[in-house]
Amino acid sequence: MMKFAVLLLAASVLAAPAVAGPEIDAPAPAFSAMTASGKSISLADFKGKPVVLEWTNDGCPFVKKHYETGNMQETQTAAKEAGMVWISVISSAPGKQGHADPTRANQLTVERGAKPDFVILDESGEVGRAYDAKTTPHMFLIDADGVLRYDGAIDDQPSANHATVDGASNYVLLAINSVKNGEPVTLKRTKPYGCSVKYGS
Amino acid sequence: MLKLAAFAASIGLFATAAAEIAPVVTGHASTRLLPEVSAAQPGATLWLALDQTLDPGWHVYWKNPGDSGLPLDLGWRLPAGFSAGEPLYPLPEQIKIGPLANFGHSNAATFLIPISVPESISARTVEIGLKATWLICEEICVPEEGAFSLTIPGAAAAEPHPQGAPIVEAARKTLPAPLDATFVAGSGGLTLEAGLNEDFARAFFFPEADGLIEPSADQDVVQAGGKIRIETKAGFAYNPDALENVKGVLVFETQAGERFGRAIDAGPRRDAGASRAPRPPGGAIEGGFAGFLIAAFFGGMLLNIMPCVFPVLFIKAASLAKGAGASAAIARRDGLLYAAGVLATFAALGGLLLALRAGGEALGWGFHLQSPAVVLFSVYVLFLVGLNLAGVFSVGASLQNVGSAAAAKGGPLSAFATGALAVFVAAPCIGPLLSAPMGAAATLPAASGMAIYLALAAGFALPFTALSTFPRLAGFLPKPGPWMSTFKLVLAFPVFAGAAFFLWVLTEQTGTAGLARALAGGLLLAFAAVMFERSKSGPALSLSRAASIAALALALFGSSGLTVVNVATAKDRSYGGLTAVAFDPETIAELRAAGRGVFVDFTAAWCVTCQVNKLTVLSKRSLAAAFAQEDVVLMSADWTRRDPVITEALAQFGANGVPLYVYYPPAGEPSVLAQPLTEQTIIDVIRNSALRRQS
Repeated sequence: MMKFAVLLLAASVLAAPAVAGPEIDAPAPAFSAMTASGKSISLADFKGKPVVLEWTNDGCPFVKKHYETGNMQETQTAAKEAGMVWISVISSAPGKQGHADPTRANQLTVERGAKPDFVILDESGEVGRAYDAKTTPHMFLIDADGVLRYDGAIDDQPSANHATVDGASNYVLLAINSVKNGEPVTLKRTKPYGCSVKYGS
Repeated sequence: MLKLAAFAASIGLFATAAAEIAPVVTGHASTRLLPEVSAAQPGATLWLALDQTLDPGWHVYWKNPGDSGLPLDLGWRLPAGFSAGEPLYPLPEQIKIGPLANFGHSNAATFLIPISVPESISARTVEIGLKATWLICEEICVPEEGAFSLTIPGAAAAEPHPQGAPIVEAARKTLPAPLDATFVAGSGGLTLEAGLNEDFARAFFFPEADGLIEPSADQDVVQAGGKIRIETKAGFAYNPDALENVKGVLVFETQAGERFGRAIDAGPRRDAGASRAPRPPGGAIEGGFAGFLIAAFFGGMLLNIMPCVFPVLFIKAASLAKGAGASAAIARRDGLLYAAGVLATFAALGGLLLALRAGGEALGWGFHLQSPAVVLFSVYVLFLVGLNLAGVFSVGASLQNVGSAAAAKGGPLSAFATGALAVFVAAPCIGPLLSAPMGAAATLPAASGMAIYLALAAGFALPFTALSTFPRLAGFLPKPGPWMSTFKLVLAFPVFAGAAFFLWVLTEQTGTAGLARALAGGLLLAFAAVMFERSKSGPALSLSRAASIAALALALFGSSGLTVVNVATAKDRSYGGLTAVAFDPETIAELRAAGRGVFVDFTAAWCVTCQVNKLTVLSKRSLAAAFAQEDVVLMSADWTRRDPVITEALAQFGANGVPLYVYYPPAGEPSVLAQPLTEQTIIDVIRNSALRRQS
């Protein structure tokens, strides 16, 4: 019986990595991708600066909630003031909601009053899959050493209702502050909410 | 008669309530709020259905929506005394979207909501208001909402509602029936087990809790012998240690495409849960001091069958069996002397330990093995015992003159010495059962500490003393015969193995200089043994007798003045592919501050359990991978030599000896791992604390 239990445990250990997605407190998955301004960037370019990744889709009601209330822009400003790089990622495949070519992506940034440093056009979904980005918005924070420190929702209000932005506790702001002050991030992983990322199949 | 009147009345009321309930049409759904019956009956439960017809290709969400999406949100406006219960969801389906998956309902969904109606209703009509919001998605998602109001009479009698009743009835039929199930929380995910005889083609388990499983991952379903087993893959919030029950729905689909569900509220499978809870520091022995005494006593008894002790005892047991027919009085005397030897040695070692502790020395049980002279002495004694068992030389009685007066000649002293020797050689085998009382003994007041040592000694001495005191017990021993000389020869080898082990310990302590000395000493002893045996047939003062004594003296002289050298190198700390960091409290603090966990192996070369654990558990490649994955640093606290820093660290956890395994998470309290150590306990403790930090 004991032996059987041990075998079973051993088998389950070997069977699968325990948790899907990128690992918290481990080096963040490397990527290089084209931006809306036609530049190729890679994560390694920002060594020495913390990086915020934001998965976005302008047609998604959850994304709209955060842009139309100004919440996303405020979070972007806070990150920039903390000396961080903000990268918005659009992983919608061609023909799917939120897909953007460089012109549309730049236009969106202007229209929404968004303040990202870069907008990655990830229509192949390669970057999205590397991070196991599930929803829009889905947020990641990588510290100056390239270590992933936060993975999850922007806040604790899983709703598309604009009224829920007031009084929400913004997990990304909390993580930004911790990383800025050199403290460990307390809430490292939350369940992201929103529309599913519109990957191509 | 009265019934008939009520019936008539209800028909009348029904007529007023029978106005067709129109759906609220939103972008992609058409939704109605329908009652099951035509009236709210005082004291009863009124069932409502929120019935949705969705545009083709669109779906709404189950209570756990999976990777994205939102469950139904209901805001009720009810008359005083009324209350709404949680909605009952229809059976969910797994809806895959690229690499992601949602749990939801497509085409149509009926949610059943129980409304409890108070005993007395003041108004004649009851108005129920509902604002429902739901997220509806195809490829894209749209939040929708609808306002519903339902006006029905409050009456004792009610009729099935012509629109609502069939809808509620149909929805109720598909509700999952409860099914007894158990779960096993593996490190890679949850496995459910249940009995089920129905045939099905496919099955999927939908847990209520977010992040318990990976929504998009396929599940491994096995059905055999009336049982099913479903393996799921761990989701982001999966924590095998904190899992007490698992709720959800098992949804089956038959070959014909029909769906049926079973409601699951599973507890852990009994045999799997037992070893998971980490023991509190100091062990799990309840009952305080008395508990420690009892544990020490039984632990002592158990020590007798440990490989360190058994061969030594066998020599004595063999002599008992020999003497079984001869002299019960001598056997009894030997048994008591043996017990005296054990008690005296424990008392001496314990007393020394307590005295040194009082003098401020940081020591723990097994401390005498930290002295190379004691280790070398153990090598020599075991080597001589082995030579004796192998028949190179004999002292006193030989097997040929069984029961003769000679058997008793070496008696009194040898029985006492056997007791002392047994205690010495038992130290490396102090098992998990004894670590708690030994730890307690070192921290309790001296008198209590000594009581624990003596309880251990009494337990240790009991089996042999009982055997020799009650000849009838000795009668159970196998009859002496020629087999004993064979068995003796066989036993020589575990004893040689013991000598080899102590030789290795000595090398760890003193380096190759000590090893050379021990090997030279061993050579002299072998020579002395051979010469001794030869001299027995010659005159009392023969050349061989002189040579034997000289060699023995030389060997003992050579063992003095051994010095401990620090030969600890990275080699000592290699665990398979992984090299441990040397123990240092400051390093632990630094690593933790950097957000890394530290796993400390408190070990010693002379500790057999430690070495076995190191080889069979800590050196596993899969464990090294888990350490890397969880960013855990392996640290080795090597107590082979005296080290007050390590002794103090052990004391912090109520321990007074090795092995001890402690995990320091990046933040929070360190946890002591339960023994026997398994890879699973280690991984569980690490993952458990990682998830605690996240939540």
